[in-house]
Parts: sequence; C-alpha cells; structure tokens
Amino acid sequence: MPLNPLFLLWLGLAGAPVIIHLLNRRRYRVINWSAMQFLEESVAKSSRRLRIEQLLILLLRILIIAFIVYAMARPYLGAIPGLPAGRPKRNVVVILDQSLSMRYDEHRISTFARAREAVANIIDALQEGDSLNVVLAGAEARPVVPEPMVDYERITSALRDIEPGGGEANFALAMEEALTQLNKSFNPLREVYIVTDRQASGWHAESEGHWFAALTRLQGAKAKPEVYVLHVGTDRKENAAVVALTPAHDSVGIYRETRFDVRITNFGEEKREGLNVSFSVEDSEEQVAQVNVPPGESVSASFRHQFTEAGSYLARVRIDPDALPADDQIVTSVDVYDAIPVLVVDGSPDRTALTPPGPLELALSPRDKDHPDFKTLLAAEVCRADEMPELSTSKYHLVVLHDLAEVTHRQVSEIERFVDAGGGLLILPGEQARPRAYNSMLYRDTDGPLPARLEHATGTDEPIRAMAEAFTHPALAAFRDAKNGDFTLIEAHKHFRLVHDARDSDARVLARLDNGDPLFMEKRFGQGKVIVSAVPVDEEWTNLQKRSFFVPLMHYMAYYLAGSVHPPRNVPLGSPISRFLPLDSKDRFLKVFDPEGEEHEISATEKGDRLVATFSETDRPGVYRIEEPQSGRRTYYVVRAPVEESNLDPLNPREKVWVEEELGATFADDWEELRSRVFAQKKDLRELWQLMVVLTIGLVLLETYLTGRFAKKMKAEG
Amino acid sequence: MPEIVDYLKPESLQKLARMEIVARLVVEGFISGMHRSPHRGFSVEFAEHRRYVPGDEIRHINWKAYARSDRYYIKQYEEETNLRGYILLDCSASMSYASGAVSKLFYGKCLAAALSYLMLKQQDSVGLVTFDHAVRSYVPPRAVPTHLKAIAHQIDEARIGGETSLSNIFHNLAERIKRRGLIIIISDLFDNLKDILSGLSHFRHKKHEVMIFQVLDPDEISFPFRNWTMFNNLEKDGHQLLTEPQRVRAAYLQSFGEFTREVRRNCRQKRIDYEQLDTAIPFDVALAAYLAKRNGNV
Repeated sequence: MPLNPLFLLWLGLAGAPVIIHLLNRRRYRVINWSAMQFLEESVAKSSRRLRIEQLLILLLRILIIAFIVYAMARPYLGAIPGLPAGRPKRNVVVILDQSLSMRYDEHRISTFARAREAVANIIDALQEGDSLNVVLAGAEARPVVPEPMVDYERITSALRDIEPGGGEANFALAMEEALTQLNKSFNPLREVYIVTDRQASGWHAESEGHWFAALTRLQGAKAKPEVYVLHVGTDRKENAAVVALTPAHDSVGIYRETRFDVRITNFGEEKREGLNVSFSVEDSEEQVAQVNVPPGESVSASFRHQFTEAGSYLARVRIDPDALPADDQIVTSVDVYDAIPVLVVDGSPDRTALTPPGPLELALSPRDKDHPDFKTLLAAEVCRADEMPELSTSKYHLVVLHDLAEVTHRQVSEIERFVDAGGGLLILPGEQARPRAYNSMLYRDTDGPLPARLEHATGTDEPIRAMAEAFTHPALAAFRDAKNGDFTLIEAHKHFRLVHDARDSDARVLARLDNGDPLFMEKRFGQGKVIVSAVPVDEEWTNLQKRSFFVPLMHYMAYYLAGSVHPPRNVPLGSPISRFLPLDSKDRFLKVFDPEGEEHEISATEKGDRLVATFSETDRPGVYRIEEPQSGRRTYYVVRAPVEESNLDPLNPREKVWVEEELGATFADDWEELRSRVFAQKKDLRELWQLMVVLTIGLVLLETYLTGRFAKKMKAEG
Repeated sequence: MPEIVDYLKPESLQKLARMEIVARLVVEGFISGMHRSPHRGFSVEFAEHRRYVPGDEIRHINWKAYARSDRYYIKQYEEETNLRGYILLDCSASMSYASGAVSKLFYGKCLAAALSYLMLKQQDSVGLVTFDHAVRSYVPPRAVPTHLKAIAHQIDEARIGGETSLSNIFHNLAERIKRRGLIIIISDLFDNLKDILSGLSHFRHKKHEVMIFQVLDPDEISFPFRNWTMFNNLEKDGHQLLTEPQRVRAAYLQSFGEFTREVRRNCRQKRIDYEQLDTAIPFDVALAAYLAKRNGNV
C-alpha cells in the first residue's frame, strides 16, 4: 500500500484520454460520398496501422496520467533480492516528558537529564535526511522548533536550556502536537518516541474523554506512526511531599494566633521516620516538628504564628529533602487583616444612635472592659434598616441583617451585588421579619441569596435543643469538640422553619435542631456566601447569646463569611491570579513578578463596584507578586503544581495495556532495547515516486515525438 | 422548363464555336485521323424522297420509284459522315456528388449538351444514352440540326438513378450499336476497374472509337476532409463508414491515383481517349482545352 493511498482514487483520471477519444468520435459530421470504393480501400489498407497508432498514443496518455497519480500516491517497494537495501527517510517526533516528576534525582542525575541523554541517542541514530522535532510535554504541548527539520544541531541547542516544569505532562495534548508535526514532513516512515519516567499521572490512561481528540486524529491519520515509549529512570521511587499548608481560619488577623495545618504524604514504600517539618512565615524564626509517616499514608502537623501587621505574607513548610526536592516544600500566601469591617443592619424599630450595643454587636466587636486597648479583628458598625448605606466589598467584608421586617428593592439589589462580588451575608430574621417579604424578595424560589424559604415562626412550650454533630463546616468545625462549645445547650423557644429546596444545590444545612428543622443554613451566591439562622439574637427566641460559645460562634461565622471578599491567593497551575482594587484607587497599571523574577504589567479595569487586574500566564508553579506602584502595596500569590505529580507510581499493567492498544505503542525499558528493536533493524523500503516521475517524463517525450511523427507522416503522404 | 441554353450559355458556345470534334480513327475507309464532313453529295444514307425539279442531278432520280409511280422522285440523303456519335451520360447516384454549386451530373449534362451541339454543328450525327445500372433513355443518333432539341430534352429529363454498372451498359451498347461510331462516355467511372476495361475493350473490339470524360469533383480528387466523419455511400443505402479522413487520406489518394493511372494506361493501350475533368474548372474551358489538345494531336 503506497504512503498516500487515497491518491489512488484519482487513477480513474487515466481513463480521460479514452473518454475524450470516444467523445470526439461521437462528434462527427456526415458526408454523402460518391468515391466509396477508394475510401473503403484506403481505410482497409490503413486501418491496422491507424489502429496501432491510435492505441499507442492513447496508451501513452493513459500511462502518463496513471504514472503521475501513482507517483503522488508515493508507492514503495520492499526488499529486492540482489539490490542493496533501501534507506527510507524517517519523520521522527520525540515527546519529552517535562513534568515535575522528571526532576527526580537518582544518584545525582535527574530523570530529566537521563531523558535528555536518550533524546541525544535517538538523534545520533537518525540517518541523513531523517526529519526531527521534539515536543515538550508539560501542562501544554510545545514543539521546540516550528516544524521538523534535518538541522539536528538546532534542536539540540534548543533543548539545552529546557528544564522540567512544575506540573504534570499532558501526553494526550503532546500526541496531538506530534501528529501535527508529522504531517509537516513527507518522509515515508513516521515515528513517535515518548521519553518519560512512565509516571501514571499525566497519562490519564483509560480516560477516553481525555484522549478523545488525540485518538480520533491517530485513527484517522493517513499513515499511522509507530509509537515507542522509552522509559528513563527507575520505577522504584521513594518520595514524601508536603501536600497542604492551610491557615485554620478563612480570615487571618492580627491580635491573635493563627494556626497553620500541614499535611505530609509518603508516596513511597518505605516508612519515613523522624521526618523534620519546619515552618516559617517570611523571616520569622523557624518552628520545627518531627513526624513519622508510614508508606502510602498522610500525617498532619500544626504550627501557630501571630501576625502583628496586616498585609500579604508567605508561610512556608519544608521537610527533609529527598530525591524529588520540588515537592519537599510548600508555600502559602496569607492575607492578614487588622480589621474585618462588618455592617450590622438592625431592623429593630426602636433602634437609635443612643441605643446601647446589643449582644450581637458586642459579639462582633467585643471590648474588654479591663483592657480598653484590646482590639479584635471584627469591627462592627451598626445602622438602622432604613439607613443602610451603599454596600461595597472594599468597605465591608460582612453584612449582618438582624431582625429586618422586610427589604426594599434597592436593598435587595445592593445586597445581591455585594454578595455576588464576594461579600459575606448573615441573615438573622427575628420578631419583625415577615416571611412572605423575605421569600418574595430574598428567596425568590431559590433564585435569591436566601438559602431557604421562611415559614412563619413557631413557638413551642418546651424549648427545642440544637443537635450536636461531627461538624466539618469551617464555621462550626471547632464545635466538634464539646469543650469548645456544646451545641446541645442551645435552646430555641421559637424559630423560623427553614425549608430547604432540594433543587437548590448551592444551599446546605449546617446545623439542626433536634426536631430536624435546620438551625443554620448556608448558600453560595456568586463569589460570596450567605448563612441564615432560624433564630435571631433575642432571648425571647433562644438562649444562644447567653452561651459562652456565642461570641466564638459569631466570630467563626464572620471569619468564614468574610473570607471570600478577596480573590484566592493560592491557585492551581494555569489558573489566573487577580487583584481587586477600590474604584478610587490611583493604581491602574500593576506590576507582576513571576517565579523567575521576570516583570510583567497588567491593567486594572472597572468591574461593578471595584477595579480588577488579572494575570493569566501562570504556567509555572511558584510565588508570583503583584505590586501597586502608587500605593506601594504588595500581594503574594502562590501557583501550585498538582499534588498528583508527587505520586511517582508508574503506569500499572492495565494502564500499560491500554496505552499499547489505543496508541499502538511499544514500550522499551531502556535505550538499548529501543536501539536494538528499532534502529538496528534496517527498514528495507524503497520509494518509487522519483522513478515514476522520470518514467512519466519519458512517456511525455515519447508521446510528443510519436504524435509529431504521425502528423508529419500524414502530411507527407497527403 | 430548362432549355439547352441552361447547359450552354452563350459565352460557352462562343468558346466552342470554332471547335470541332475530329474523329481520330479510320471509320468506313476515311483518312485516318482526318474527318471532314462533306456538305454536299457524299451521302450514304437515304433520308427521304421529293419531287424532281429541274436542276436536280439526274443521278439522284429514284428510277424504281419512277417505275412504280411514273413520276420522278429525287432521293434526298442525310448528310452522312463517317462520324456517328453516341454520348453515354452516367446518371448513377455517384454522379450527384457536389462539393460546390455544380454537381458532376450537371457538369456532365453541360458536357453532353456541348458535345451534341458541336457534332451537330459539324453535321455529324449524335445520339444520347443515359444510364445508371441500366439504360434509362436512348436517343438514336441523327444529324439534323433540330435533333439538338431532342437531345436537350433528354438531357434535361435525366435524373439521378441508382447504382453504377458501367460494364453492363458498355457490353450492352457495344452489341446494340451496329455501326461503328464514336462513343463518348461521360462518367466518374466509379465502378470495378476490370469490368470497366472489359466493357471498353468490347467497344474497341467493335471498332468503335471511344472518348472518356471522367468527371470528378475536387473533393474526390484531393480528399481534403479532417476530423471524424461519417461517409454515407450515395449509391448504397445504409452503407456507411466512420473514420478520421486525414488519417486515411494518403491511402485514399494512393488508391484513387492507382485507379486513374490504370484507367489512363489501359485507355492508352486501347487507343481510347481519356480526359479527367474537374468540376471546379468550367466545362467549356476544360472542353475547349481538351479539344484543342486533341485536334492538335490528330
């Protein structure tokens, strides 16, 4: 089968001279002739010669067309006994694994260095005329040169400064790019070499969806390439990694210690004992702990730190380095606040400026009588319902609606815009609240920010207690331990029934009363979060405000709700990083410094009630820094490599079979095996298209000569 | 109704006015190659009687008639020459071919009319036979000037017929025509050569002098056709031939040339006068040229 078999469909064109000849024969004129005897004689005399001449010319023309078509189909011959073996030219694409795991250092040589060596071996084994390109397989697939070339030196030079990336290798994307590169060259033999440590992560073997595009192209390729997977490095790898570092609270502030939780995973097969874990924030003194991590398991550790100034900070954790040092440390960006501004909108009709602060206000801005200089993170401001100001996330992080009778359209609009932009909302309907108004304005049949529909408050003779549960929600997790607060001590004499609609997948119940009714419910609305309570802060309804854990509960809820005001500081590889600024900010052009220290510029554009500046080129893991030149403010962002890259497990047997079958791949354990299997065997293939072209030219010359000769002869005889 | 003038325009007649057809061979004892028509006396054919008037020659008195009728009658003789001409006009289908305005038949008719005129002018007798594969009409030879009208009428009546069969006609006429004469054949001669020559030989065997005017169309002579052409046989319905004429032209010309050469050679051998006429050349010009050549050679 020729290399471009589809061209053979055009062989039908070779019949064109016959068709033209027959058509011409049909287009004749008619003459009533007298001297038929001479004509008959002449035809009889000439017919044989004429037929031979016509057939010869026709045959030549058919052959010319057939040869051209066949040459374009690129036919080739196998071995011809007695003749030296043919040297078919190759079109080679090497897919070089550029994932994080290739940094694995074994005996002082990284897997990537071994891979580079393997690529050099492949290049050395190529013959003159073989074209080559290398595709770097990272999160994206990138060829090192625009198209395959025979200038191997240029490719080698381009590879010299390449280092592994920080994420996984997307082999499906890389294969697509390899096929694109193969189509750019016309050499008959097509080969793809995947040089990799065979780590399972990145292959997504057996995932038809992940490989759909690549497999479709592979199966539709006019000449399927031979695919080889060359293993570099070893399969047995020991690796422990710091996989998570998170502050215990969503909002971190000064005045109080912040707990940082660390998780360490041992991906290897050997236990890691006495593993040193060191924690630091910026230049603070390192704190060190030791852990033991069984193979295949994770352990946690905690550290505490008190920030003294508001700002953006980097917290780091390191463990003892191993063969893959890239995942032996983790950095987290933390925003530290000196205040979390809260607006309490009080619906009490007798609320005035002189009204002393109630329990809610006190809980949200607690003052210690004995320590008037003592400050807390939350700074609550109270206003009457009818005096609710414009809500802006740059001014408030949390809005509390306490005992509002209803909300106006303007207020609903303000509230929804605020929450959508990332603001937190705590709704505490009380005596004034009209359920119908709440439902029509704030619930709107699951379209609004209210997590549940309110039914009229019901009172009971006997108080209903809250249920104690194994809370996992960040706002309630502390109360898993009854020592921090026994929820069963909360009593409700009266409460609103919060009716949860199962259609609303953004809403969930956080805590219940022991009659099954929700006590607290949460809903995500836009960028922000909303919590509604079935009871207000009112002793006629509940004893919640008298419980000792009321203030911490309010704080935890406040920190949780206020935590979405700013865009995330710690994002996955490839996700954009953003900075929000107030509309009146003087900084319209910000500087971004990437992990290599390279400077970029981004502009802040108006979106809603703020300015937003976004940087998208986060294809390298590490610390990015955004600086506001006018204000001098600096914010850290951490782009994280996927945790899966720390798991160095290779493809399992089933996954390997999948790759062999779907890609038609052959696995080679090392270069020697590949060399003996592929490069030592001479492929005896001889392309014939050049010969066809020469023959076609010969036929054209012969046809021209014969046509002229026959015409001349005709003329001479005539 | 066409008249002889349709075939003989005044200018044509003028061209031919001084021409005469001279018999080449000895006929009835005359000087070989020379023929003069005696205007007087030398009649050998009795035509009719008339009453004797004084002055008539005594020797012409029909004494037998006197004996029978007791009256004197003079024998009136036709002006008889050694030349009795028979014009054989081929009216077979092949004669209908015309590449231009003039068909071979029309050309032949003009020729026949001109020859008739000439012969009658020189007081020779002339008759006409039209034929295709059989004789279609026969006008016996007469020498009276009014005979031209009869001939002209018959010429005009002549229509295209069917297939050619020259040999049959020649043999047939060779037997029928008792007295030696001049046989003038106007035909394209598109027939079997052997048969034609056999017929001509018969004429010669009967001591007739033969003149052949082979009338041909320029297309038949040069075969100028190109591109695929379906040739329908004029003489045979349903007989067709599809060919690329430019490819067979050489062979056609060779075949045609061989035929005419053979005819010419045989005619020369048999002492038959043969002239090939091209319908592209006006007949009067061609005929005048021919006669001048012929008379010069006599």
